[in-house]
Parts: sequence; structure tokens; C-alpha cells
Amino acid sequence: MPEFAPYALDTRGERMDALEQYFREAARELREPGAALDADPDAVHRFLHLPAVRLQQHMLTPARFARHDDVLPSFVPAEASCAEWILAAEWLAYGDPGMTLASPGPALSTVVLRALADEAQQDWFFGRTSDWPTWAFFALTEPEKGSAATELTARLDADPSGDGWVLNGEKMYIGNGAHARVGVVFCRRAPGPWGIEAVMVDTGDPGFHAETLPLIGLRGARISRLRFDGMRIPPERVLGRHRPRSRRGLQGALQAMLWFRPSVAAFALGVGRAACDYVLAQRPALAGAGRAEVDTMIDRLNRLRRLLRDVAAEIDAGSPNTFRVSGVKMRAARLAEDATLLAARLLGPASLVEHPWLDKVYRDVRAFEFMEGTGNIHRRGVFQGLLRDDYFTSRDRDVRPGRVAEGVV
Amino acid sequence: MTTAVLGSYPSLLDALHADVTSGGFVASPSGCVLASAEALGVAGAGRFGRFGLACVPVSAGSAHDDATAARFAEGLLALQHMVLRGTLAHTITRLGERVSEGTSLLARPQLQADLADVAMELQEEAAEPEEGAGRDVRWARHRRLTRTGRVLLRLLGGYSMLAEGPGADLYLAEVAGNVYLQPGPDHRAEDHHA
Ligand SMILES: Cc1cc2nc3c(=O)[nH]c(=O)nc-3n(C[C@H](O)[C@H](O)[C@H](O)COP(=O)(O)OP(=O)(O)OC[C@H]3O[C@@H](n4cnc5c(N)ncnc54)[C@H](O)[C@@H]3O)c2cc1C
Repeated sequence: MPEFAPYALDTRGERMDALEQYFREAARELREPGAALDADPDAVHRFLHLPAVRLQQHMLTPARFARHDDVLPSFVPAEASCAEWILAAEWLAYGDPGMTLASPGPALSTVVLRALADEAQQDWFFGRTSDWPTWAFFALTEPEKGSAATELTARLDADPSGDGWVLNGEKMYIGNGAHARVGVVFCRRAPGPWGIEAVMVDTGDPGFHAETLPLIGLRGARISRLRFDGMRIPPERVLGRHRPRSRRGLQGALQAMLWFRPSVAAFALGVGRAACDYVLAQRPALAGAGRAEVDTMIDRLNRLRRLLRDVAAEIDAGSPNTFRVSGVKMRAARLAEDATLLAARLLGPASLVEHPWLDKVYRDVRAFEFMEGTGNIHRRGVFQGLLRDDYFTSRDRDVRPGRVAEGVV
Repeated sequence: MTTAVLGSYPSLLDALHADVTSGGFVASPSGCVLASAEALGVAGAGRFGRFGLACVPVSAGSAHDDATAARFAEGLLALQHMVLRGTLAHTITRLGERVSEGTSLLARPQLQADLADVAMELQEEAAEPEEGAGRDVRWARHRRLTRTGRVLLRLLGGYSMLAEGPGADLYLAEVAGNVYLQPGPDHRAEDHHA
């Protein structure tokens, strides 16, 4: 197994330093489980005792539902901020990105719940995801509608019995979908973007069907195809049902993706750094052009990391620059691909055969391009930001009158 | 033939081995043979097993002379090219069927430009110059084809991550290049002595 190379910690105050140190240590345990998961994605059950596997559930659960036991130190926060979560995501992915995505917890749905749910709905959902181990899914993408998510076709029709709703449709590439106990499904009650609703489902209810799809890489994500066949949805499972139409369904999806985009970037940077460190550990005497290429990659990584911290801080401050979030995510995904291609090249002929870990991350990193929006969609976003003269401006320096600061969660 | 059937990389690789060695296998410079798990008699084994491929240490009877290696390397590039042509056709069909805002994704200038870039790269790659090239140049060609393949994979969206889709063939072509085409640190000295 590759060594964890020394890496200078950031100086952002003692608490963040302690957190980073802890994440980094905890993630060390993920390399071997990651390899096991690549061979058999269901092997996650063998590793549920690891503190690193607990982090997702604890940090993404609202404080009032979090269970404090002695697996994690008390300074690891529940209901983490975006800045705290990206720090965890980066180091966990440095350990193994597949293990991180395979870990139990509310995942993306936590943001939808925090944004849209009333207290009873939060009790229903987080009451379940707080049980250990419980997986949850976030189902937006459909077989025919990925990037064009606002055109989704899964239907939510009034139940002929007069009480509640009936869900019909399919979802595609849904992380942990076939293993989850609960999930949030985006579906259409009426035409247009504001006709989209977010509903909570219990996978034990009749009408839920799921299969795990065999993947090339990031197999721990256990992405699944889901089918909802006349599934009954009680009225109280429609999230944000007392809000205006423009402030529920789609709004929840957008907020969740915005909040999680930085963590996909963090995953990508974590694996990219791991690939660079791996090369240096395997070739300590690397010099000349090869060494310069690694150093350049690390320099790019550090720059993107800095940008990532800034966009996460803006999200936490309730004033995100969505264009810049897009840009960082897109560039980080590309960087992870570049870093693994570089590592395969610098480690010489047959490196993908001789270094199983490298072969694994070489396959894994391609997925970051697609998670929380593809590169093309983000490039369009960045262009929109340029048109509005809003791409380069930091929020804290943006003093234009009337600037609307929209909260994220 | 300019296109390949989805999922056919292992059998195409076997055919190339057989073609170049009259029924045997070609050894890589680093001393292994990459071929279908079935042909190597190690079905289901190893990391590459789920993609139908296996990599085994070189055995007696595997060819590794320079002339055979050069012919095999050219064949591998032709194979990668063929897989990419097939994937390009598949990508155009798939994007044509996916509709967003009332038009097919093929109507997006961004995607049209990407597809055109891929086509131009493949056409340039297919034009055969009069002079043959050495290992460094073949390796550079493989790297360009790999980059071209990555563009197609992005265009295919999440579908490109499925083990049963075109992503698997492109991945295997990358692995084959890594095993057979990548020059070792001392290959220039070897070339000089040959
Ligand atoms: C590992 C993994 C985990 C995932 N987890 C989840 C999950 O938990 N929940 C979930 O809901 N989804 C999930 N997804 C799905 C992911 O969000 C989609 O794959 C992504 O949105 C792209 O959709 P698509 O694959 O259908 O590609 P398409 O939207 O069909 O895109 C195909 C190509 O066209 C381009 N394109 C599309 N529209 C435009 C446009 N308007 N302009 C320019 N170019 C365009 C794209 O950039 C891409 O290159 C996951 C995917 C992966 C790979």
C-alpha cells in the first residue's frame, strides 16, 4: 500500500488544524478497504467500524439528530459547514474516494431536508438515517435526462383514493440507491421547472425497485438504477409543501448540488494529491522534467485548493458565487484526471498493471466529471458569470448596490 | 474495418496477437502478455478479469523480437483508432437521441466542436506517412488518442462509467498502451544498440 507523504497543514486556526490532522489520520485506514471495495462494492459492510466511515453520517446530520459515541472525537462537528466538510472530503478521498461514497449517511439529501423540510419531516428522515448503518439517496438524474434535470419526467400524480400521491418513473446513476433505506426523489407534479417536487421515500414501501450498475471506476459509489412503480407517497412526505412552488422541489435540488459541488472538487483534489504523493513515494529520486511535472501539478492543486476554500467560505456565509463554484469543480475534476495520467506515465511501462492502487484511482477519477454537473454545464456557468461581470468578484468585496445575497441552506 | 463492436476489445486484441505471431502472443517490453482472459486460460482472474482481459508474466513461446514488437505496436494503435471510430459513431447516435430544451444535444455548438475535433484528430492519425516511426512517436500517438478518447467519454456522460458501455473498451486500449507502447527510461540506449 502507498505511503502517506508528509504534507504541510494549513494555518486557519487551531480548530481547523486539529480537524485536518484528524481527517488525515483517519483516512489512512481507507486504502485497503478501498481496494476491497473495488473488487466487491458490497464489501463496505466489513469496514463499518472504521472512524473514517462514520464521518459522513456524523458531519452531514443536523446537530439535534447526531449521536455522540466514542467512535469520533468530540471536536468533529455534526451539521458541518461547507468549509469543514470539504476538508473531510479531501482527506477521505486522499484515503479512498470509493470508501467515502460508500459510507452510510444522509449524503446529498441532507441539504434538501435542511432547506425544505418541516420539523416532522426532518424527524422522519434523520430519525432513520441516524440509525447505524443506514444509507440514503438523492435521486434527480433519469435515464433520458441528466444535465437537463429540469426536464425530468418521473411523475407525481394525485392518488385516486383522494389522499396523497402516486410516484411513477425511473432514476439513473443514483449513489447507494439499491442499498438505501430512505431517499429523496425529484419528480413532476405539473409542467415547467416549478412543477417539480421533492418527496421522501422509504425503500421498503411497495413499488420500489432497484439494481446496482456495474461501474468501471468509483465502484464504491454503488450507483444504481431505480424504478418507482405506482409507489404511494403520503401527503406529509412532500418536502416544503407549505412553501410557494418556486421555493420547494427544484430549489432543494439546486441548493443541494451547490453545497456539494465543492466536495466533489475536494474529492478530486484529494485523489490528485494522492497520485502525486504516490509518484514521489515510489520514485524518491525523481528529478528533471518528471519532477518538474509533479511539482507543477502540486502547484495547480494548491491553487485550486485555495479557490475551493474561498468558495466554500462564501457558501457558508450565505453568499455563494455559483459561477466560481462551477469553475472550481470543473477544473478540479480535470486536474484529477491529469494527475493520474501523469502518475501512470511517470511510473513507467505497465504501471497500471504493477500498481493496483494507481490503476484504481486512474479509473475512479473520471467520475468527478459527471458528479454534480458535467464540465460543459459548468463551463456554460462560468461564461454566464463572465457576461454578468460576476466571475472574478469576491463576495466580500462586492459592494454593488442591490446585490442580493441568497442563503444556501 | 473502421469501427469496432462495443465490448469487443479483448477479442480484437487476441486477433492482433494471433495475426502478428501466427497464433501466439506478443510479450511486452516489461515482460508480460496482455490478452483476453479466455485466450490466456485464466478466465475471471485478476483485476482486469471483469473487463475480459488478463495480464500474465511472459511465458516461453511469447514473441518479443523488435520487428514483431514494432508490428504489434502499430497494430495496437490501429486498434485504438478503430475503437475510437466506433465510439465516435456511438456518441453521435447517443447525443442525437438525447433531447434538451426541445433540441437534440447534437445541436449544441459546444458538442459539435468537440465531435469535430475528435474526427479531425482521428483522420490525421489515420493518414499514413511514408516513413515509419519509432517508439517515442508511437507513444506520443497513443497519448493523443487517449486524450481524444477522454473527450468522447466526457461526451457520453455517466454512461461512460458503466462497465458494459464503450468506456470499458477505451480503458482497455489505454491499459494496452501503458503495457506495450510506453517506452522505458532506458529504451533509447536499447534502440541505439539494436
Ligand atoms: C459516480 C456517479 C455518481 C452519481 N450520483 C448521482 C446521484 O447520487 N444522484 C443523481 O441524481 N445523479 C447522480 N449521478 C448522475 C450525474 O449527475 C449525471 O451523470 C450528470 O448530470 C450528467 O448526466 P448524463 O450522464 O445523463 O449526461 P448528459 O446530460 O446526457 O450529457 C452528455 C454530454 O452532453 C453534454 N451536455 C448536456 N447538456 C448540455 C448543454 N445544455 N450544453 C452543452 N453540453 C451539454 C454533457 O456535458 C455531456 O458531455 C452520478 C453520476 C456518476 C458518474
